Amino acid sequence: MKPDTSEKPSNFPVYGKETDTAYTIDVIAELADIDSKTVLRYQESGFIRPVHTSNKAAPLFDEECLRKLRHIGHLRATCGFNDTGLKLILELLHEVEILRQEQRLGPR
Amino acid sequence: MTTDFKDYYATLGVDRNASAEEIKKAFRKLARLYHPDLSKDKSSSDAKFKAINEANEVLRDPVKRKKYDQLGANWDQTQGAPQNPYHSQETPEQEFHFDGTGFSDFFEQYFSSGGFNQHGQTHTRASQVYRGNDIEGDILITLDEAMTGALRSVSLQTLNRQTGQTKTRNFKVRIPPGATDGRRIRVPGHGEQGFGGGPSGDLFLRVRHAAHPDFTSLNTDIFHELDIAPWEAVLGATVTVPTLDGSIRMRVPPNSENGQRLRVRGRGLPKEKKGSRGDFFVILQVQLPQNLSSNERALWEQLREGSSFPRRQKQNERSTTP
Repeated sequence: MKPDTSEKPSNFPVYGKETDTAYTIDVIAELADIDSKTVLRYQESGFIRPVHTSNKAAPLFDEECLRKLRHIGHLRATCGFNDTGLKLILELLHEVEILRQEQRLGPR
Repeated sequence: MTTDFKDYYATLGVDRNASAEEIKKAFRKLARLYHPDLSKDKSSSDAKFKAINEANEVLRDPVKRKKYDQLGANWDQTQGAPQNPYHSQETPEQEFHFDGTGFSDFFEQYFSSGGFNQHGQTHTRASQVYRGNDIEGDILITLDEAMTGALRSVSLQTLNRQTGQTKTRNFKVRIPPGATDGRRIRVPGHGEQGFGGGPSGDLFLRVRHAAHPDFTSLNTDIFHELDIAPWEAVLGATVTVPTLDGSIRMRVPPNSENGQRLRVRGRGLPKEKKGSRGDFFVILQVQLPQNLSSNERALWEQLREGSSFPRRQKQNERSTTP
């Protein structure tokens, strides 16, 4: 994502503009520094979900998938999780996030 | 990095032994005065509101409050010697310091909810090229900013521990309309520096909705607790309710229950799909009258005499039946 510098008079770069970037499995694998088969395995395990596409044979992935893949890479490198451990830790992290949100904003 | 201690109890004007309810009341009272969405003088109220909100973030959460109470006595001795996962904003080589996120240095250091998680690869082999870790921080926004979107100035100071050099980067972050609590905004290339000539990681700012005296949020839905009288719950009423974009008139149906939700479609935060919005929920809170006048008491007694309220009578009958 290139910074949007159209905001004047400040020269500060502006980030956060919405992008619809979608990556093929080979591109996202290269960006996340893993191989395509691993991306496919993570997709089958439900760790990442491809964005909707009309052609089901060629799944496309968004920025959030890339962030998750890098996060998974970090967990693997630092904690040495296998897929079962990874699934458990990702579920727990998600649950912690929900509980923290409930604690901050109240249960609904 | 030096950090000033914040006396959150003094900020909210409550006693150190104050109950959760007292803290909630004190926050609501002050938030009505200084909340940027409600205050007339937005420039002067902004800093005050941030301080109030930060104090509320810590004191309303029992775990953070306990930690804060423990810190209170010797907070400066623990500085620089992080003992908990919230301190992970410091990577082995670099230390990050933010300004413009809506939280003070003190809060960022001790209470930042998500911490600055590092994603990415760890680099242990010096001969290889690695991308820097991603880092994560919180950015506090008001519900008004979440409604309309906003442009926020953020300053990121990075201290390289190996060289001792400090680098400051200023940038702006566009908060999109409908930014929900928990959503991440990516600032590319502002994470940890790459290794062996590799690219820098990204910075992810996680949106946190500032507490509002009248509303709470969940995803794109907004919730408002409405106090109603017992007779309004029984007989029904037409009431005026504030929303984020103006007041609305709505009907409370007869025989409404305490805690019942009334939904107003499409009056919540904008959704990603253009033109679509979340819902606005009114949660009915039946309030009992306090300090009855003699006239009111007589009316309640009259109601008691003529009431056909059967529930407890039936319960009693059941409990006495052998």
